[in-house]
Amino acid sequence: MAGAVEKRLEGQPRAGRVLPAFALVGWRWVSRNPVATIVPILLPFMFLYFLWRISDPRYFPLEVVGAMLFTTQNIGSWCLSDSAYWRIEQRLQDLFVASPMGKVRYLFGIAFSNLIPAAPALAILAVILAWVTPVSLFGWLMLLAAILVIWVTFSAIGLAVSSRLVSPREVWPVGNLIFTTLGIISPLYYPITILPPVWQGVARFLPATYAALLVQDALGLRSAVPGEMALDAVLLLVSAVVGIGLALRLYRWRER
Amino acid sequence: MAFGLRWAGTGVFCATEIRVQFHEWLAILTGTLVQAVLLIFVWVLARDILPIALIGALVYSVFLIGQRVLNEAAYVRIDHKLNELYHASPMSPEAYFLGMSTGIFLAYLPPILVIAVVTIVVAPFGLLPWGVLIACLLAVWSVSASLGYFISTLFKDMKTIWPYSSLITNLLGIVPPVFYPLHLVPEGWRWLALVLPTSSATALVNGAAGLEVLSGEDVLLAGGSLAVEAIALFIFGIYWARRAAREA
Amino acid sequence: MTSPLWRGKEGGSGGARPRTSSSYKNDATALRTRAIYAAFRLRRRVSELALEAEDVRKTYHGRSGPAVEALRGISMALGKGERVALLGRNGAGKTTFLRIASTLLAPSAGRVEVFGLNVTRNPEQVRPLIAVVPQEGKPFFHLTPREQIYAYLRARGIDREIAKARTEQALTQMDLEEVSDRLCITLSGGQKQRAMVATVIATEAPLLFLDEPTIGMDPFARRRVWESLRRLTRSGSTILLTTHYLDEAEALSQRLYILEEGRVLVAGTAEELKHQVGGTLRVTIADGGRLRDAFASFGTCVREAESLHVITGPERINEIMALAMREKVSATVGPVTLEEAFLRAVGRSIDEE
Repeated sequence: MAGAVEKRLEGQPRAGRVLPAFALVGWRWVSRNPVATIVPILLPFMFLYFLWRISDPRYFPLEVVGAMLFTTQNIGSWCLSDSAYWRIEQRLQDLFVASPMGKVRYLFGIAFSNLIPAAPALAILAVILAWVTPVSLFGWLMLLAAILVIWVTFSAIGLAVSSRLVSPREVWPVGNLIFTTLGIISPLYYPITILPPVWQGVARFLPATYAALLVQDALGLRSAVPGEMALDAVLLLVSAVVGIGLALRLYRWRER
Repeated sequence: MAFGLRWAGTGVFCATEIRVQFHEWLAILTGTLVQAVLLIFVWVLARDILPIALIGALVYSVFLIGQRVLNEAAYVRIDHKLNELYHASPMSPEAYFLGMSTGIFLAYLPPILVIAVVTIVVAPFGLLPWGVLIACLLAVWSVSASLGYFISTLFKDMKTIWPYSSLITNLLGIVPPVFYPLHLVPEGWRWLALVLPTSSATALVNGAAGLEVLSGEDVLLAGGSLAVEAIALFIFGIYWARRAAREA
Repeated sequence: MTSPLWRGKEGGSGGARPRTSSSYKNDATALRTRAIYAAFRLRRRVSELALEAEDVRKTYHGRSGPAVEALRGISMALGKGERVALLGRNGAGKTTFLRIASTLLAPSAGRVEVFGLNVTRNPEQVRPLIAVVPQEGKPFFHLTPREQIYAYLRARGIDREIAKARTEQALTQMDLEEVSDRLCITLSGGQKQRAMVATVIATEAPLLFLDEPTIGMDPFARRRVWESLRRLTRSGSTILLTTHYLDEAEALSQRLYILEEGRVLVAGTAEELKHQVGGTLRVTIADGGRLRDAFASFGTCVREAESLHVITGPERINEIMALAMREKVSATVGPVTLEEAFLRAVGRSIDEE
């Protein structure tokens, strides 16, 4: 018996693996609920259609970029929802806490599993963007980088907030409050210059604003002051670091 | 069952639902955020159509109540199974459905009234348009609450619901001319806009308020469609409530 | 398997004794001495204890209302390879203790060590060695039981082939083969619970925490779970489970602790606890509550609602039955069960709040 016990102790993996587990979770959600993939594709288009109806057609390429960034930002609300539901209703987080996985891997796993349903929407919007405006290699790289950073930042925000919720009924209003408000304030769908100065000032504190300005600059959709792109990139990265730091600090892995 | 008895308990259940919703005042507050987003976009990009967008915001707010009914009914059934307590009681399924729908409507009235006040300030109009508005809002409430309740019975977990809820909200609330004028819709598609409950309601109110010009045919089509949809879906909602209670 | 921790009275099964801090310390000290010797011999840290808890306390401070003292100084020790149950009424502190020991909840005070590692200071080192079945847990709704188990094993870092093999084994052990490819959302409550248990037993973790693992299961399913847990301990795992099913505690655990209001009231094997009751037979007298005085001389009387349970020996049975006939009440005889021991220890039925 002593040998069996020691063998069992020695044989346990000391670190978990994120991608095999959460890729399955994310893929199965999408494959068994195709609507969950179709809706994120349709939603930006419905919104773009609305904007196209009411705004200057010149803004359309900018609006497509905005739709990509908003779709990515919205992953944060899905992360908030999943994380809260798994923890509060299904108690699945307990399984992962009492395992070698670790907090960082778990949070990354949730963010990754929610990137999967958003990916087709982003791909289709990218095709449309290429159709409505020429995009250089540099432009694509900046767009991809901005999407990745926004994905990380807003997933982190969603996860940080989710750990403070005590009831699944709080998920919708809190998620709505945070992500819709952030969507309003950041000038994703129009040039920042048409906003009132006070609003511009507030918007400049938000990571989605830096991402939008950076990509608009890279794609030549706005004319920026020299050096502004570099500044936006730096601020975007800083906000990602802050977001990740907040998530790691605020996310309760062990209850108190 | 006698008609009066059939609806017994509606008031009490409605009051219960209001209390439940008021506990979640944050949901009530944030329930107007999407409308606020769209209004802000209109204000930034096309300020001249703001009065139409405000009426659209009122219609959309009432339409969203159907989504709240969907979420509430699904949550109570799936996560708590509390519907079974009520179905296995003297309260009829239709009283349950009506009580929940009315309770949520009343609980979400405050933010709707705020938008109404803004509308009065930005685009004041006479009593007749207000009468048309109230009638249309009640019709939209009937349509959306019945639709929401019906959809809530189709799913087994909450996560599966949100894509459908989101699709309906956007298909009926953002794509049609609810926040923008009917005349921006291509001629060949206007009939569809006048048939959909949200855009037909908005068009009728805009027409009554003089914000848009509607022909007699447009008014007939929009008014007739909305009335038929409101009555038919309400009756369907009651029928489905009884059927869902038997299968619960 | 007789726990090395539990030393009853010489020559017999001994008597369970109320657990005090000092009695726990004597057991743990003996094992610790052996561990020190083993560490010296093997030149590495060794603990003979799978779990050691000393004076663990927990106070919940809610958003509103007064603070709640859920644990008021729990001390216990589990040897490696043991199956131990925490028994108690709802709200006794079982789940709170289990969550603290499994690194899910921070204690307010006290020390808990798992295989010699402090759960508060070194949770990252503890977590690879444990797995937990949470109370009222539900599987991922959009996965099948097979995918749920496999995904979790992979998440724990287990290689693909091993994960596949263990998944199939766990499905068989939990009798889930027929539903293994159905979405978890379509399963019954008992099947979902079995899927959760299967997920965790597949890990073959050295220390498993199970919080009311058989809740919602039918008797056959419960027995399958018991058999799986016995198999796990035979192959080297240690198990701590909470339950308020007395038959489960008696059938499954090698030792048990009875908790009440955040304290350990009594500990021992089920037999030791039953012996403490003061008899080997229980006579249940329907509507006998009013006749307590008449039956009091035969042994310990415990009233439960309208019934009266008399704990006595076989030599008094005839007298009791005769009295019952004279009083025109029905009486049934059976062996003393853990329920009587529980009633005696706690003073109330396990189902009372």
